[in-house]
Amino acid sequence: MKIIEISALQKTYRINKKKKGVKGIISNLFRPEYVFKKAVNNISFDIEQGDIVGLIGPNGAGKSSLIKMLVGIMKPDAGSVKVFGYEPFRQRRLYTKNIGVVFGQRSSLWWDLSVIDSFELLRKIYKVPDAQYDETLAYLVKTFDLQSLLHQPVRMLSLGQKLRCTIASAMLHSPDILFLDEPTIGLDVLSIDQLLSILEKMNRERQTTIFITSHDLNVVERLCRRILLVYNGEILFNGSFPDAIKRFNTYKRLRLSLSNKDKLSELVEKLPSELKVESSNETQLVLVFNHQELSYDRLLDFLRLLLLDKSTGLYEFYLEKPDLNELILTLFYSYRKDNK
Amino acid sequence: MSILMQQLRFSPMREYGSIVKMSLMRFAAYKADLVIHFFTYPVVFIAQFCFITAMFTQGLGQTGYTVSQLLTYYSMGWLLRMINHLGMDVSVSQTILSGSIANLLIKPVNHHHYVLSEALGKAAGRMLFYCTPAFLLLCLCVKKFEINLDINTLWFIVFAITGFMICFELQYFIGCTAFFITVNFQIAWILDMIIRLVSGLVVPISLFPKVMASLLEYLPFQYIYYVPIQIWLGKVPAEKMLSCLFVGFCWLFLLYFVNVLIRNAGLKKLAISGG
Repeated sequence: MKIIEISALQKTYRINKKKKGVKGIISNLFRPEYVFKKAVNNISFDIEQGDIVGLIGPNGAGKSSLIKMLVGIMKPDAGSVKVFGYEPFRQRRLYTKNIGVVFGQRSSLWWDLSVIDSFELLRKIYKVPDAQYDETLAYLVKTFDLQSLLHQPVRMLSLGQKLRCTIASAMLHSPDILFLDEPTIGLDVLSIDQLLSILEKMNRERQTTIFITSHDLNVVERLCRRILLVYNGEILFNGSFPDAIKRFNTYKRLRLSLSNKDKLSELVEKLPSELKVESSNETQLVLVFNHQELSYDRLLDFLRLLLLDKSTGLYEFYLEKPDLNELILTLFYSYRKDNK
Repeated sequence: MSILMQQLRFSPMREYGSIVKMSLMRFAAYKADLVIHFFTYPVVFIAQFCFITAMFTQGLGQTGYTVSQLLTYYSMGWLLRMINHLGMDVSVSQTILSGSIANLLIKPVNHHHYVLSEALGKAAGRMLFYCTPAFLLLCLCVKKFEINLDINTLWFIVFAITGFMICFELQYFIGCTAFFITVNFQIAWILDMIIRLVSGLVVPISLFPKVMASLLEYLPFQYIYYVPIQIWLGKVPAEKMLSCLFVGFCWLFLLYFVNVLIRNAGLKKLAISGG
């Protein structure tokens, strides 16, 4: 079932073009000049219930603008957004009862209150029935390991603790969809791992739809079944990570570990023409190839020959697929080249 | 129009009651701040007392007020200011400027009612921790402080609440200007100065030049300080109370609707930058 439907969505910002120096400041007062920047340019997509979707893109790509329109705090210039049939901006108060939002850079808890007081207030704001609240709170306290934090003032918590509490607070009213904008900002690897496990568990157990933006591609790669790649306010790719690899990155990487450094140049000469040297050092040779040009059968034959020939000193090899970082870089650079 | 009608619907009070309570708890969260504030107000009282006493001893007392009435006027003025001046203009504009308004808008609450609830909580805290002790101190220590516990006291409470609401709407209006001009601290400061002057806090409106005084009678500002204090002093005839209250209510509703329109226009314009 589709729960998010976005069609031809647009948002343009009017930005005051500041001129240089004192003269510029004075001229700006009397004759301001404006530039118009399309933050979201004719974007359309749907999201199914229970899906985990990652929104990725470089700084200023339009990710935050898109998420703000999705959660109903910013008015689109054109196009339509429907989440559970609601128009988020126009029906904000009704709509926000059904969603949970976490802005990684802004904690929505009350700074001066204890965590439990903030939770109690949210219970009243979202009108959560007592029995449901008690059950959800117990689940969240256990899942997020919050017992020792409940009676501490929010201002006394560490960044990771605050984020755990913030995400728990966004789940108190059992929303069907969770919007997470940069939720791992400033977290250490252990906290990120815990957070991702929790989100996976929630999605598995409660069918919670998760929409996440992050610059940390490891997070997106681990968590998301689908990625939306945004650049210059447009969607460059909408699909699963394996689909993206298939479509945009057909090359693979072969890493050879050698014990005999003197044989390196000899080995390079023996390489099939489809294998290109990416880098090399005394003990390693990194090769790339397009698997549509060089079949795996031919590659394995070549490796078998190398392993049998003891003089090459080859003792290990790894076949690697490109990671999401590389994929995105490839995509962005090709997009830029095409649009120049 | 449909949005306006949506705003008109009264929201169930339960969640807003909790916001009032939360605001009161936040107010009482910092003990040192509470104590320092408590001792700041008597300093203002004492300065005011010295000024009025000096004015009368120098023969400048032809004001239509006796010394005790004038002392009571300013004392009540400062007591009301403790409750009325909550800095909601600054807090609203800061949330807009910093983008933290986003945290409020993602919750199913009306921005206007949420800020009002916060103001009520803060006012309850000030009433409890500053106003009541200060009032008791005035009753016990200042012989010239006039206390008339009669029907006027009830009218005073009604008018003081109306004044509080008008003052809140003015602060909310000033805060909402940040939607359009981003940095509004100077506007907030100037408007606060003007409101202090034209509401009768600094000088009773009856002491203004005649033209100005009659002009100010048509504006809502007098309801914040001047009218409630005049009622406390027994200077408003009983037959004028209802008509006066009606006009005050009209101003209050007018300001409320203006603020609804301004806030809705502001939210449409709102662009929270940077994450």
